[in-house]
Amino acid sequence: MNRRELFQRFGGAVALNGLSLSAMSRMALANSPSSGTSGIVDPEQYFVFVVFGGAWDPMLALDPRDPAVFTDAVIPETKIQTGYDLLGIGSDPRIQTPNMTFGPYIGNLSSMSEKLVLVRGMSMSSVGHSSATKHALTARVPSGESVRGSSVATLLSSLLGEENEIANLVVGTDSYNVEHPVWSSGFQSSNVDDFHAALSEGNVSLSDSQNDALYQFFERERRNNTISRFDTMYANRESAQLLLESGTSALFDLDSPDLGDLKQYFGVGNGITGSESENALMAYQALTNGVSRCVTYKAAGGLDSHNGDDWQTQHGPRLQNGFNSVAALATLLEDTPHPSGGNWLSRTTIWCMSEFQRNPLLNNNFGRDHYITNSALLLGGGLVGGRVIGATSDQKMSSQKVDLATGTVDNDNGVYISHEHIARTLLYRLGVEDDLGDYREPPITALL
Amino acid sequence: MKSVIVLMLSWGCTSSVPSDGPSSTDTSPVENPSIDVNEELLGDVELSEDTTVVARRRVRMNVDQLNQSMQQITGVEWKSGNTVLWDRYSSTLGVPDFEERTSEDLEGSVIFQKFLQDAATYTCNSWIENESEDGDGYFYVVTQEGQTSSVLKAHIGHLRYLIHGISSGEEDAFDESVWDLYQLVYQRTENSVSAWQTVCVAMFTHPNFYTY
Repeated sequence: MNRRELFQRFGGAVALNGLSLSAMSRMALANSPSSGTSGIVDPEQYFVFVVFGGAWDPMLALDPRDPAVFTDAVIPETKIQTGYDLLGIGSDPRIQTPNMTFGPYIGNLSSMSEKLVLVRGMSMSSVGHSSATKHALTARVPSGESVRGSSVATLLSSLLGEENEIANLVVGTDSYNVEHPVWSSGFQSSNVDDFHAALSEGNVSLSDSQNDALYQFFERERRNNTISRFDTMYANRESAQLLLESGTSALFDLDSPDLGDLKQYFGVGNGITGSESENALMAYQALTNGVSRCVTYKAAGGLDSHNGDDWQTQHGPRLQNGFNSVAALATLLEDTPHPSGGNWLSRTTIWCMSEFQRNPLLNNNFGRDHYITNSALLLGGGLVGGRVIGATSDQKMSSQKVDLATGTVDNDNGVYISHEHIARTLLYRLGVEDDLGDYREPPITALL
Repeated sequence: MKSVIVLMLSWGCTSSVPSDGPSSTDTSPVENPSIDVNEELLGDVELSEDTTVVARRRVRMNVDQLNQSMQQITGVEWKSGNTVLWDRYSSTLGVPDFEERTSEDLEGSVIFQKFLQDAATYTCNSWIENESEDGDGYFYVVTQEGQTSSVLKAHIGHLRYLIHGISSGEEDAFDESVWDLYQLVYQRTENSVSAWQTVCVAMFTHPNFYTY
């Protein structure tokens, strides 16, 4: 078998030959051994993990407080300081919707509140950025700086099958694969330009004859190999070559006039947004063109606002740009029919996360330090929106126990919610009741 | 049993010090009482051969090591214009910035393989081009038409030593495989430069180069 035959077997040429996406998906289902055994009810499910790096401020978006109640006078009692008066955006800039109340920087997501699920009052394991980010991405508390499991995206990719060209696409953040097949590893790049470069010919390239000969040479090397670590390297080398020939790069060429409308829609290069708009565009392209089932992208960075000036001028706008990228992606997915019925948003679950949240009290610099509580935002994938699961307390914004069946606070009989519960919930929604991620926590049944 | 333990504990907690015991300041050695050793033979055992293999897990070179190594061998740095492309892609290749990342990702990932192939292709092309024009260059002789197979094979062994640091043995399987690669490309392109480019890329993208 030469490398083109292999490529066709992998399905890359199927997309090029113009078969419908649903045909591709059916092939994926038929060919994927994992989907047949894992109990997945509907394999045409997709996931987007949106990372807000640096720890977000709940007061500004997901978990605000009423400044008329939480006044400066009661700070000694509540240990909660909204700080809204320092932002110059009005005394009560909160955004009220029929379903939930947001902080002032939730952006365009406020108009989608009936589709959103907020999880508040989550309990974290760490207030160190690195270890807490690993916890968020893997939904397992790391052992020091070492992850103890794969990224949730890696696990879900491994379940959804290997037929997509890039099963697990990751831009701007980390990805982990501890125990899953090589093909489900995150295809990691720091930005869309680098991702596009990785799919494109280099500045000097070899001819087809040379590449064919190299393929045969490395096939021999792989057959004769006795070092297990090299097996993965040979497989990845081959994948890189196959991707190059897939013609996928054009989908992510931000310089192409073909992407002009999408760039305008996502606000790429409009002088307001940053890389998050490019990342959201990439996520849309990867999902709807059958390139990936799972996409993880960074929607905001630099949220570590210990400094007052940074917190007052940068934190909110960064959050808002990130949430706007999610709103734009979700809206377009909803407007795009899925070949197998419904729209893409109904089949795509979006999980917005940050490693932990910022302290409800301002520090001496009028910025905010780290805090052990957290929130999360979910939408799409058939989730019934307009709901809030859990709550932080009105003193210190502490985590509270939640009745998983109702989503309401129950400090007597409930449990503290963390990333593990959300990851387990996603598995259940796929139809997988076994704890394949070893999360050791039950799902949030209120979301099933 | 419980009463015995209580008795032992109460004895252990006594504050009285035996009158003939060493004082707290006495540091002179005390001879231990002799112990009888039974040297009676209990039986034979078969000692198995120690099969422990002393070896370290191979590690991938980091980006800086790759860049330096390729330059050291070829004198060529992977560039586009004035931009060093190893630097351009450093973040995606997992090079630490010591702000958000303090350790380098040393997986041989798909994206690493892609950029390594790009770097090798660029470097090999420039290297062979430079050397072919230089009468003393490594590739000057072997890119001349009509060379014997023994000269070409010797050059493969030389390249392997240069890039992998491994000397070829008699009827070496790797050298034979590279020779097959050379011949295949030469047959298809009838161009020795193309054949050597391919051999060079194969050497630089082989794990024997970028792991140690």
